[in-house]
Amino acid sequence: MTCHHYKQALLELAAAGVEPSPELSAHLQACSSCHSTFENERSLLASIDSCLSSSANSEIPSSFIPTLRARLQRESPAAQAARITNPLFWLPAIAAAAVILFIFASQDRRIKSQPTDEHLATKRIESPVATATTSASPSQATTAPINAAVGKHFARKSAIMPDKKPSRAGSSEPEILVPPDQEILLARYANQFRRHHQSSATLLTEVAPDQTAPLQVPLIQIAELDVKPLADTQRDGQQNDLLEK
Amino acid sequence: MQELVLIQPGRTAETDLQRGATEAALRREFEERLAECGPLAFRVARGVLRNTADAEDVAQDAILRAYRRFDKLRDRGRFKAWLVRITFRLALDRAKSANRRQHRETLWSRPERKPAPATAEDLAAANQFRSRLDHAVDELPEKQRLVLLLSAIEGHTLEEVAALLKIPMGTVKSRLFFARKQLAEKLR
Repeated sequence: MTCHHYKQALLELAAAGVEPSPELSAHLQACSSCHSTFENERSLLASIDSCLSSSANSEIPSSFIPTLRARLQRESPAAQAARITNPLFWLPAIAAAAVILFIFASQDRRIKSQPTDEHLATKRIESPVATATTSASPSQATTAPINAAVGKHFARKSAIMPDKKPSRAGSSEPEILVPPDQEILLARYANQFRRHHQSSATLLTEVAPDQTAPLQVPLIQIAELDVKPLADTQRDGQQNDLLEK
Repeated sequence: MQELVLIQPGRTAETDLQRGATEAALRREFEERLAECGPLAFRVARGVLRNTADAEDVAQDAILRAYRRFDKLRDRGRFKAWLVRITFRLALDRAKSANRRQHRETLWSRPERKPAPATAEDLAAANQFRSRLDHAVDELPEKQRLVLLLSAIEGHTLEEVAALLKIPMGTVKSRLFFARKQLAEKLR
């Protein structure tokens, strides 16, 4: 066996922590190089063991067991139940619920502060049709409930289907929900109806008595009479008599 | 401070009484074992983490985890081994996350530097020997590492380690031998 083989065997012996065999002991006594290698390896392993031992056997902190017992006490079922019944346990959940409620309430208030659907429905009552009916028609009393019902209908409908264009809600023009293909036709009809309404309203507007003025009628211009002699007239009469005979 | 007990109306008092007695017995048994196993859990965690504060934290977490599942443990005689494994696993997880964080910070702050080669005597005397040893231990397979750690703890013979881990004595010796050999090769 060469020194290389001996060294391998000696390193393994040192790692195993056992004493060398008689053959290896004899070689160690004879070979200084192998002896040095073996001693270095044992020294290194002793250092390793010492470091590992000092790391693993460090002193236990005095607070370890008391802290552990306290945590175990908190972990017991009775303590958990007591913690659940403690109002402070629910405090974060209550706070979170309060925040959520506050957010919802603020949003609701903001919605209410905007023009409501009923307001829009009231405006819808004042659509060209309804305005003309209520103001120009003499049957004002009979059409008013109908318009109110129509307004309520629109209000209910708009409550279900909110306006997609809220910018129009603030304008003075009333709005009516119509299918998209009928929008132009309805606009034409509204203009036409508005013109009729204006003309009829002008005619039917009552004038105050103090505002009445005497009718200024211009004098009749009569042309001068053209007088002709009666001779021709008598001759024409005789001819007519002869014809009758 | 007096403890409050939550009473469920739908449950009979007798059942509550039985359950309370069982829980009290379990807890008493656990606390009896705790006096012996608590320090061992701390030492295992300390051997892995090499930091007293972290080891205390991890050991307490492991013991609490064992306490929560103590009633599910069939063989109570294996509690010590069970607790050691839980502690070892938790400590390894903590060490890995700490190593990742440290590696990330080191990588961003400065380039990696290789230590200068030195002889075994110099290394043993130098301050960096311990850090090199720690690094070498971290690279060991987990089974070898656990055996090495338990055998390094005072009062644990190889037979006790074998009994604790429920593995044959030859396996303990084999793992310990390969662990020491690997450490020596890296530190030589």
